[in-house]
Amino acid sequence: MKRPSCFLEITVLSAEDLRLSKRSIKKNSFVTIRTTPQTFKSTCMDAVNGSYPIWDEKFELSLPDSVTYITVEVQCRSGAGVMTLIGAAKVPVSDFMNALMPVGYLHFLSYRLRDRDEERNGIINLSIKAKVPEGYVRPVLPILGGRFQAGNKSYGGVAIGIPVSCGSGNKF
Amino acid sequence: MSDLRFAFYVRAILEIARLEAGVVTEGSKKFVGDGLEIKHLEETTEREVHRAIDLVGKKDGDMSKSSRSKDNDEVVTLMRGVHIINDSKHQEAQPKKTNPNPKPLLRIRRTMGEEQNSSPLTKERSPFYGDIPSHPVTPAPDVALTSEIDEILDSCLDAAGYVEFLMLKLNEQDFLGEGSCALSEIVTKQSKSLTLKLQRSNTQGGRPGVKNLGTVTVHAEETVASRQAVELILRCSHLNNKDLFSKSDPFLRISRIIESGGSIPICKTEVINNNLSPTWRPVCLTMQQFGSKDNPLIIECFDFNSSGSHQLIGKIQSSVADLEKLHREKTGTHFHVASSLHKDSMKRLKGQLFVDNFSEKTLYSFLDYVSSGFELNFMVAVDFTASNGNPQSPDSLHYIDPSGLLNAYQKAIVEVGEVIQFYDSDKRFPAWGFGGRTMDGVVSHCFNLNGNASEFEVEGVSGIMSAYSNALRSVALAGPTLFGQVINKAANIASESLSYNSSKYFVLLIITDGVLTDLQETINSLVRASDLPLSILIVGVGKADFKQMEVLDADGGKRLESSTGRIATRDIVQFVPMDQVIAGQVPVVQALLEELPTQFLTYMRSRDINPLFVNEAQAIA
Repeated sequence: MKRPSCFLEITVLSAEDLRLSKRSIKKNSFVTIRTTPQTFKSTCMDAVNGSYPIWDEKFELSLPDSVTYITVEVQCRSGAGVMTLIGAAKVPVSDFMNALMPVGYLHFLSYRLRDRDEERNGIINLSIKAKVPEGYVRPVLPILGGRFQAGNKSYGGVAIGIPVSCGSGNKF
Repeated sequence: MSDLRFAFYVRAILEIARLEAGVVTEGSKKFVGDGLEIKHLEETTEREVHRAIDLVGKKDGDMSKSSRSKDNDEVVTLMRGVHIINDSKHQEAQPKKTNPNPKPLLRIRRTMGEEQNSSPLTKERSPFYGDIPSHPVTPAPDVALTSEIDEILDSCLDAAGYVEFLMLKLNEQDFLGEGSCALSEIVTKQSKSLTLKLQRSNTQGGRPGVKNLGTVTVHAEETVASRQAVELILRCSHLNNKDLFSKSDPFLRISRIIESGGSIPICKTEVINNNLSPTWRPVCLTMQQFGSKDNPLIIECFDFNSSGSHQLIGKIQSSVADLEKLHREKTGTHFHVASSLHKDSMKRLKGQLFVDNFSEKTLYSFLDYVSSGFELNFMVAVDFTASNGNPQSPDSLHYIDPSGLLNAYQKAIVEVGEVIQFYDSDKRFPAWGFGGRTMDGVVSHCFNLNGNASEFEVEGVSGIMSAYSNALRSVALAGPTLFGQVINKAANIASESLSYNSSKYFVLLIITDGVLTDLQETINSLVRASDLPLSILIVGVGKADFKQMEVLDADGGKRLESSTGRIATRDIVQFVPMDQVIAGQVPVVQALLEELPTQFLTYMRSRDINPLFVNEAQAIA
């Protein structure tokens, strides 16, 4: 049983205590969110908040049914224009789509960032809301099969059905 | 006398203020009650009480003196001994005679007297009274005997406390009757009014409960001002450098200038390291804090110094109205410092302050939510590990004293339960035990306290108490101490409820004697639960070292981190060691419920969930 593909409304809120070679970064940090290697969105560069950047930028990204986690990368552009990875985090899809919670619940989630050497480096704050837009319901249905027929009317609002498939999300 | 009906209107100034994370509000007293965070600037309190007394024709400052209202000689209100929470005298304010089951809670005692007035309601209302819109308990015309007391008593009421009323016929000082209730009982009513039957106790003379002594209606409301707030994003440029080897580490402190000339700090920003043109995170100032838009404010910029002696970079005298103007005109204003050359003159600095965002907000208070139908659903989990000691032995923490004296577990259940129950409409509480060997011989880290395999809910606080004492007979104490399963269970209930209802918030009370066997397991569960409408109160009983619990209660500012790298969204834990609380003279229930309203509001506000009446109003419009 697969989870249906859907859209995610992701807001990149802020990050905390970002460092480069143990020193607090000064500016020009930005975030890239990837649901697949090809599907990604990036924020603007934060120029003023130093090592505690604030972006507060909202994106919509599609989430294919096979994806089990999305990646968040925080990078920094140096004066010479070189991009350096400050840290990355993997966000399990089950953290915001799971068996018990309704789809459409606004999740506020924070993760530890780790750099290339897996060293801890700051925290990223996000909010994620899964969306199944009206027009998107139909193509999803064949994937759902007959099992969710009863629930499909309320698809856009209160979630019925989604939890079961998400519960098995860890298996693939 | 038996036909007398009384209506008293008590307007409680419940000054609800939000304590921003990391913002220290100095010079203010913080009053906290059950589910209410009441923050009070000392100056305001006294002045407002005095103002109220002035308005009703009483002598300023003499609260114990009785006096008569302007146009009715017969109706007299006597206000005596307003005991504010945190007042060291509160202990003596607990009258032993008035409550059949003395509760170890703070009380605010208010004594009032009145005599019947059967004249029609033709009294002129004081302007102060006229400000209050549509009074829910205004007597209907057919209630001719209801005498409306033309006075509003302003006082701060402690929500954890009990409000007591003594009716006295003033001329002869005859005792008419008395009544008491928990303030949470009043504020959870939609009308925020509660009618109490007056009673007479034996010690007062007369036969108890025989005569109809009338009723007293208590109404509580908040000052409307507390809902208004402004959110600002402040930025500075060209600040002076105060550090030798790096740039300044600036932060702002905003203070309100008070009438007597001094100033009270109302807000502090975070420190931004090594930056001369910093932008701070949005700061929120409530009307409670800044008074009015034209009230002068002092904005000081300091260079943070870890020794605590922060160096002043510059200051600005301003007001909220000025800040609004700065934002509108997109201009800055210069900082000043006292000139070193000329006394009394100020030197203008290059550094400027800008307001990048100015937005006015309505911050709904905790009371707005609970009175419009939001609920706090209470859940309990009790520690059944062996370290509590054999329940048959009197030195055990689980020993049930045949004399009826409550053990620490029972005390915690009763004290927290009796306050929180009013926020829960069906009063059916899930109750679990952990770390005990149940009838089937297996150690369980989450078993139903009532012994029922399928049903974990019990009826009322008394239901928890009897399930607890029954479980002590059927469950063998074992170990280890693990909270994870109990927290997961509570989290599952909270997340399931989201599908049906967004007006429920859950409160899990964990009572434990000991040290956690697996701290990380508990942290993992807490991190997962931190995104849900759930708060966890932990009471530590006994003499164990509770250092670990302080880690869970992330008051130090360090956010909990799970083993998978997820970080807690917010602080959902409040830990209180029972013994320390007793020694420190702060009631356990107060210390425990202190953070609950803030945690509740953080959750609701971050999701733009409004009180129910707001949504209804919008639907109509």
